Amino acid sequence: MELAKTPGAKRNPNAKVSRLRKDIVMNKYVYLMALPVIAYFLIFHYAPIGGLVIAFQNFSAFKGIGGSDWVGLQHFQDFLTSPYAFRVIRNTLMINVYQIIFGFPAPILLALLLNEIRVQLFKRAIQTISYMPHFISLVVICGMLVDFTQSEGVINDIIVFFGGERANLLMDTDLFRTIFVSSGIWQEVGWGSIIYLAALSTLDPHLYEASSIDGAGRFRQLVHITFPALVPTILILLIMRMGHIMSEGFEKIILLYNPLTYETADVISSYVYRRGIQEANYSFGAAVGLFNSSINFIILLAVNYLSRKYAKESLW
Amino acid sequence: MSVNQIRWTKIVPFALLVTMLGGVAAGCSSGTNNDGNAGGSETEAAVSETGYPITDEPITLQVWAPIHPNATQYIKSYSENEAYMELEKRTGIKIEFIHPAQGQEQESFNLMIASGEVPDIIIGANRYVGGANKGVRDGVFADLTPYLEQYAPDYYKLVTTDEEVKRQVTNDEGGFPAFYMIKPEQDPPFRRIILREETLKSVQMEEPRTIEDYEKFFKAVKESKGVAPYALLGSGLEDQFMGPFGVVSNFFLKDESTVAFGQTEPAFREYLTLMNKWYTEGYINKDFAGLKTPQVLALFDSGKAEMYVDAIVGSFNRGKQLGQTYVSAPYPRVNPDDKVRYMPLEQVAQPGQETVVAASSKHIKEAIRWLNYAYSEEGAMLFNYGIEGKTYNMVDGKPQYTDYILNNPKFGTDNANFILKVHFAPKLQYTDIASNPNLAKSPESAAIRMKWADDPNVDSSMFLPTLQLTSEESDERAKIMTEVNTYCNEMVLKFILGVEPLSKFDDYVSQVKKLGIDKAVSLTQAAYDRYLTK
Repeated sequence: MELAKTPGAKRNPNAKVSRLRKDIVMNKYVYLMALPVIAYFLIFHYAPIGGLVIAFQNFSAFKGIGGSDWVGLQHFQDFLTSPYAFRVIRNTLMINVYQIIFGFPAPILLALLLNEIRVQLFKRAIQTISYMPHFISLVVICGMLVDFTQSEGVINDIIVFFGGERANLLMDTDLFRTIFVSSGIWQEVGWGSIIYLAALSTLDPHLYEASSIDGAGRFRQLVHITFPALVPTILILLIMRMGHIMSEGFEKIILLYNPLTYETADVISSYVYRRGIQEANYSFGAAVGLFNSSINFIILLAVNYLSRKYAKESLW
Repeated sequence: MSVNQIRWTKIVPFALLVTMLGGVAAGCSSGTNNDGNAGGSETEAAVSETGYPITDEPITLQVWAPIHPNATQYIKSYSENEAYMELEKRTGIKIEFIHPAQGQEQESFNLMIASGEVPDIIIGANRYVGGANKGVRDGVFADLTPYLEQYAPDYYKLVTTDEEVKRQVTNDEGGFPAFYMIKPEQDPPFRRIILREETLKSVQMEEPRTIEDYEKFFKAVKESKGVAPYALLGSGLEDQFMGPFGVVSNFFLKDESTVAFGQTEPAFREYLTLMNKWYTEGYINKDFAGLKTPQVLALFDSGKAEMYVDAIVGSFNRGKQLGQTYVSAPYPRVNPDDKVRYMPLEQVAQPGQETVVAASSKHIKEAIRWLNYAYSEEGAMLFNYGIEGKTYNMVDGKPQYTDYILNNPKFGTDNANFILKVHFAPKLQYTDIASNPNLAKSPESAAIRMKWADDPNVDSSMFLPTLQLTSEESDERAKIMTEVNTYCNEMVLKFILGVEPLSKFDDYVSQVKKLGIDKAVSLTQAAYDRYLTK
């Protein structure tokens, strides 16, 4: 990783080690407290990386990693030459792009709006209400969505009221992404705004005082004080969000799609679910996962690079 | 933001990111190899080679078995099932049940196999990728062949006296990979087209017989009630309306000996044309593509649909609770005297309860003898009827259910089936007519099951028996079928809705051929040919 190199890395390593030792002795309780977390990441997140080799094998659970046959890039080839590879990659990207365009700014807007509310009771009530959907199980949310979008459902009642015609919305290829993304915004907007509100809470109130003395109204303050204070957080979160552009969990997809909407709804993970998990073809699943992660990682590096170059904000 | 905060926000996300990438590989734990002690070699001083109890030493066997939803409302484990409790007394073997979470049976099964800790007995072992037989070949499950004759004499006798039955339970080499639920006498089919008697009366019709009758019925219902009468399955595939055109879904026998794939047959186009017509006319529920069974039932019970296809006795009893009479229709056909060849096949060796013994088990022989008990006369009575004197009494040499099971104050008969007796298991299965308390409950519910069973023009010649594919064959076929099913499922619904015109049917067929359906058909044909010559 050329990008990650800093001048510090070239210093004398011995000096570094002794500095670390000193630091450990000095802050031993802090290190002790960090220990379980470090162990957690090592055991559950780093150790399993070795299991990625099954992407290059015909993994059989009973033969184990050591005993399974090696097949090289067979599974990658299978995936990329599948007649559905293009469609599922396109759908995954499209849903993610929609989510970034419409879903990403939503919590920022909500946080900015909430920040303008001066009545604390009202503000807290709004916050609590907007968090709530986050805590409802996805299965329940999707059950509600299925009911609401049926031809006899609530949404259709509204459409009919305005002179439209009844139709099952989840059977319409063109509407799937809209339903998927907008329901996601509804569910997560409140929860997502927390981090922005937290960033705003550290903002120095003197800035507002000073600007109002200079004659700035509420809107000017929003544009020139509140929003700029959020920019670092926004950029960091955006970079991280870009690192997921090739991923979309299969849970919500398979709860909402049906064969009719495969055209727009079938994503990489739901395809892998049908082919990999249901048939216990773990190697295929691992290969696709590795392929996805690699692309995600490349995109993340690129976005991070651009952000550092032009916005002077980056993950590292 | 202070300097500290900025640093923190920079480090943590990066650490998170790296771990998230790593997390992709999580969940793929290595399976440990069981030492291949496949039993059989160890000689054992025979304490009691046959007969029950099997042992006087305390032996505990672990049994992996899905638990039926009807039971879980009242008991947490089959250990609380009264018949299994009695079984423990009679055999001397303590059973520890392991139940997977409902709806996650396949995933739990895969995980159990991957963990390398395989319980002594596994019920429903065809979940093994490539089938139970593949599991035996992989050395995960014990090969039962050397044990059966000696340790499971009752089962062995049941499956070897008839050549056809033997063919169903053995693999290509003539070995026995698993115990099957054996049902020597067949029941009339349970899955029927269900209608409301009152509605039929109101439109002055008998139960429809031909496709034409159905259209007449739909039209009348649509006009008088203003609802879309038919709640079609979400897949859009209903064998009972496909069958009349000489085709059923998936692999089937086209002319007694040739295997074909239903969704690409020319006759399938006629089915699609009919469904498309019904959908356009408003005879089929607008939301059908997303419908699951509970929603279909709710639609019918609330009068928003007037026809669906499901288990008849359960539907009838549910209707009774609602104060309505649900009736069944005979298998539809194009002309009234057409021969119906698509009645679902009931094999003597019933699929679904394939039961294996782990190769790593320390008690293979005891496990096999324990399993055999359910095929003995005494054991079959316990499994099928429960405990004598409690759930049934012998009256004139015939078992008769008591009120304890028929009208149990705590749970309904449907639940009692899984709590007071053993309904689904590897066992000698008596007919529903003889042993299902649901049918014994009232003469009407038995009668509704028997209705149309006397139709002489009906057989199952279009259905394939359970076939054994080699692991290479099943790998290759599975790969093709994932792509084919994705495409077909999508296109079938599009044809029915009219999103794709039926003039594109030929393009659709050639696309399925491109996905390799011919190869999948020939693999299935080869397996069927082997089955015939076995």
